[in-house]
Amino acid sequence: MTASKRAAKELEAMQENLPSYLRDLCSENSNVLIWNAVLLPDQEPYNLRAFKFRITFPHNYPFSPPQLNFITKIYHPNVSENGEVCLPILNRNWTACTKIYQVLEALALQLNIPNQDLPLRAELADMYVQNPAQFMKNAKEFTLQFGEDRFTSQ
Amino acid sequence: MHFCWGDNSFGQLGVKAARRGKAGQVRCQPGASLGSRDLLQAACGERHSLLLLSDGTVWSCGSNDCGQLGRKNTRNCEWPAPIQALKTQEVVLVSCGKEHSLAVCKTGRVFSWGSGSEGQLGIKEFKKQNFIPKEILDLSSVKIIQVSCGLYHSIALAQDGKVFSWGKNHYGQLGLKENVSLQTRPQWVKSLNGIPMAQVAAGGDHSFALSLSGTPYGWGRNNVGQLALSGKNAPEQIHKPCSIDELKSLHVTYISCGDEHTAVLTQDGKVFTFGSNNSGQLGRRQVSKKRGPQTVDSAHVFSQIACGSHHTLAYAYTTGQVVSFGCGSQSHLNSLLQPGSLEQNFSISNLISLSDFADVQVKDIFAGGDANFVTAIQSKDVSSSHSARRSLPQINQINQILIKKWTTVEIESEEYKESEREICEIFSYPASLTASFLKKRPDDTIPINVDLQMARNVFEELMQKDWITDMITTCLKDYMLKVLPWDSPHQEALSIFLLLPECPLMHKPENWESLVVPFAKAVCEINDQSSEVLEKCWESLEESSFNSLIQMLKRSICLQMDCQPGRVKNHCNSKALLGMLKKLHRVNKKAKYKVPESTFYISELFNWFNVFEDLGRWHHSKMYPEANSLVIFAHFPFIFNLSSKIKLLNANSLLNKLVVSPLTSFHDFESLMLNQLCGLVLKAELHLHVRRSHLVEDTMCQLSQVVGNDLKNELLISIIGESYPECGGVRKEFFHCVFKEMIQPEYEMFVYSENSSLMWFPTNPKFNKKRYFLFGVLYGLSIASFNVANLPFPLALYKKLLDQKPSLEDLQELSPELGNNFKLLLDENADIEEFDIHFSIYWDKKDVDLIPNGSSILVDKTNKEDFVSRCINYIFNTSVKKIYKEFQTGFYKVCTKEILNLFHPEELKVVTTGNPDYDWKVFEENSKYFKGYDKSHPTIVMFWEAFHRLSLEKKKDFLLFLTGSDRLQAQDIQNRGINFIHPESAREDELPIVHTCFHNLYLPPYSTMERVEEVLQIAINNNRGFAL
Repeated sequence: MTASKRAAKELEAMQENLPSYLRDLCSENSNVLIWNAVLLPDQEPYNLRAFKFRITFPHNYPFSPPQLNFITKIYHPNVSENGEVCLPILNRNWTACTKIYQVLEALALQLNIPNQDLPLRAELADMYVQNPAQFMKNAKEFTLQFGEDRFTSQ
Repeated sequence: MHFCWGDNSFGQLGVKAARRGKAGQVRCQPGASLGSRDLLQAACGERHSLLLLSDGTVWSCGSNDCGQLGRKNTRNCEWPAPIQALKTQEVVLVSCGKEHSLAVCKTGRVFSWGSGSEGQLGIKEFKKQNFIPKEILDLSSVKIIQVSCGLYHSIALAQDGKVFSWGKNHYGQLGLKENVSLQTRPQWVKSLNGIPMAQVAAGGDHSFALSLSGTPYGWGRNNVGQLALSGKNAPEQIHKPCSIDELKSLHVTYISCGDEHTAVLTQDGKVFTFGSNNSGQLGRRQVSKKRGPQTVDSAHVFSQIACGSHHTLAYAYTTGQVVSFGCGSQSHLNSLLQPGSLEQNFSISNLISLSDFADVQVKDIFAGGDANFVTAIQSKDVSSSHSARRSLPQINQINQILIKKWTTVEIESEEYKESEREICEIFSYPASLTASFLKKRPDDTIPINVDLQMARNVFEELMQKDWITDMITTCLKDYMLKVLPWDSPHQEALSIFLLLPECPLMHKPENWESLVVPFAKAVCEINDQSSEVLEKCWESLEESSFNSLIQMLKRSICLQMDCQPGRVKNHCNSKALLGMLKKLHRVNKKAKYKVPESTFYISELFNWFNVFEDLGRWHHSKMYPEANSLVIFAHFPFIFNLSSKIKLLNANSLLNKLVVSPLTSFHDFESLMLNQLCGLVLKAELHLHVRRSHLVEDTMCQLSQVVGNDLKNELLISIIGESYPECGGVRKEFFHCVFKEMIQPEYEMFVYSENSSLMWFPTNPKFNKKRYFLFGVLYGLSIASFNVANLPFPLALYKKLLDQKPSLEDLQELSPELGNNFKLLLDENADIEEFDIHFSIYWDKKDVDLIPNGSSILVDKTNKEDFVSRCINYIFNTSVKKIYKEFQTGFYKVCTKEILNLFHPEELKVVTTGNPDYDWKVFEENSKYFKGYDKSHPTIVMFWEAFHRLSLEKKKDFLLFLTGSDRLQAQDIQNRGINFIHPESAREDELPIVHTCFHNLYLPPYSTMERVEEVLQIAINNNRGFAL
């Protein structure tokens, strides 16, 4: 009960005051424990497109952290090939008083600037450091190919 | 020079003065001339007075109808005359009762005369008239320093601190046992034993004693509140001294009692009065409804007080003023002259005025009956040495001068004899020793009011001299320890129990029986209320003092058990020592482990401890609780270290299985455990025949048919189709396999929490409760079979088994995510409403309200503790109630609860699940070599080299191969290793063979490292199944 109540309250608060890097934030039909949204990064090359992602809240939220998954494919050292995201705030830094807007801010930040310490795809992290030009090229191509349209709302 | 005023009807003032009116009152005037001598002290009865002069002679005047003047052939005597019978004595103190008199000599002897109708003379007689002073022979063995007379009773304080009383006891004014009638001989007021007294004061029918630390103790009549006990339920009288808490905080320095009232002087010069105010003796104009102690109406800073029968006299040193409150009653006079006439009172204060003492400096004031005396010196003679307060002789105390004298005295000199006597006096009675080390400034934060550091230093200093050491040892042994105030209800008396252990003598091994045992016995006898006080003191002891108390007792227990353990007397001694240690153990726990738990372990225990005998006594005492004169060590689990406890546990399991209990010595016990019951007669066996393919089902099915106590029998396992001689190895492997299957997550008998690999009971069990019962039985059997099982239960399980409540720490262990967040919640000071947490919890796939309608009740600052404790309670208790209960019932069908209660939860966990953290070096060191093998054999050297290179997991796998279990019993790792045996005809290409029961490894003599490593791998990979 605590989980749904808190998730609902946080959803309402987020929707009322939606940050500029997000759009289309809403919960799944009749289940307030699953949210969908679209992320709008502002750094190259990800700012060329938008990225759908999902937040899943566990039943014992906020004692356990929510999960983040990208639905849109993304070429990023911190996002696995099947869309999982690794954020410190969702792991060892998680506490019951962490708010979801803080998580989303951290997500936006990390997507814009890859975190080299916590790579989920080591080969991308290596390339990002050793051959930034190649990385940017690949990322741009990938983004353009798989990313969502940035400006049209559904 | 001296002055007097008041009633002189019988000549009790000793002045031939013009009477003022018919009442016989005399205004303040200089007293009778006493020749060249000065008046030191005066004491007044109802109709007579005693005057103690500077040369130690006693003079008397007034009525002699009962012989109270101490002289024959005189009736009333209006002029003071010396008491001839006391001529040879140097008197230092006099006191008068209504019609009796007491005098204390410098030697400490006491003489009495006058009326003895109520036994108030203490000379074993009731005679109404006694003209000649007689020594109170019952007091000749002690040195009396103070006496005080009530109307018909007397109290005395001895130099060693004892208080005596005799005379009338109608109102309990003697402070003895209930329903004791009058006493014609001095009685020791035992209930004040151990309290260092500063003063005794008797009133009409009530009595007071004041301790050096300022606590007044009162007893006797309280009909008008003269004991300062007021309020609704105030008793009319009390027969036992009672510490008057209301006066405690006033810092009383002196007490004086009238017939029905009491005045106390405080450190800061205030006078508080209480009791009857019918003559205005309380010195308060305002008639207050309150009967409790209140200050008199006067702004003076007083230095002395003295009470007459119905009036109060007070003297202010700084202003030189003598003030008095109350009246003299003329009732006795009037009723004599005009029977039936109305009582006429006169105001005593009217008899003195400011100008009376204008030219002199008052020294001391005295009052009694309706008479008053004041000693004074001419103002011009005032020397600064005179102290404002009246100084009373004090009880014995050690001081620096005495210490110096004792430690430097020449043996066999006069002074030496004196020193001996002084030491003996001080070290024979608790009060003197306590008085010596009273804190100058009591600290309210610490309940200990003696200076232990100072005591330690003094004792150390005195012990430098052998003769002093011997002297003190004798005194403690022969006197002190026989009169310890263990039955005292008073906190002050308990100080001796703190002081004595500071004396190095208590820690000398040779004194264990003569000093430590009686000390411990006294401590064990202390009643619950006082024990609580003493334990509070122990709680605030310095760690080193506390520790040395424990060591003192442990040492004594060991020494006790070394000598003739069979005798009953010795058991009494052990019981006392262990009993006191038990109290200290409880204190240590309360004091949040001042010293580690292991401080209490007696590692020598098994040198003399016969585990079977002890268990036998224990079981016997459960059936016949009265008949336990012998000590039962199992009642004192804190002296057992873990391995001793395990021995006890295993021996108990063994006892349950045997027909005749093996009353063997400890050494046999060891071999008994190693040989696994060989040669002993088992009651019966619990034999399970199981198929390897249906291990769990067969086990459950057969176990469910076993009834009652048969579960305690020796468990035997046969695996159908496999035949091995049972020496414990098959059983070990059986437990390993059956538990492994039942606890795996897929079996769904237990749930595993997210981030830890610990299991717990499910909220919605898939199996019926019977299965949990049987699982409990199986776990119990595992313990009873000396097996260790790898069951990943959290510590909370063991707490529950031992009736302790799981805590937040336990939740942190089982579910770190929930536990840590709850901890955070409790530590957080901010508004936690922000967190949006409600009184509900999601646990084991279920949302549950913790209180009715909990999901809509927000957790906030005020109720967060409640929320967390409800969560903990839900997870560990409520949600698993039914099946846990089944489990526990099954478990205790096999295990003996009382034995397991000896363990701490942490210990029980280690015992039942083994210790996974091994010291492999110790394991190697414990290994033994046979038939041609030794430590330096090339194969052995290669074996250990290869073994230590293995990972922890692989090492454990090897352990499984060797022992049938991947865990060693907690004590095993300390004393077991591998038994390497050289097979007689073994070739390089053969594999090693293992005999799991005995950890025997038949290792062929391999010649290359490659082969050793290869063989180790094979062993590890084939660790399931029986090798022999």
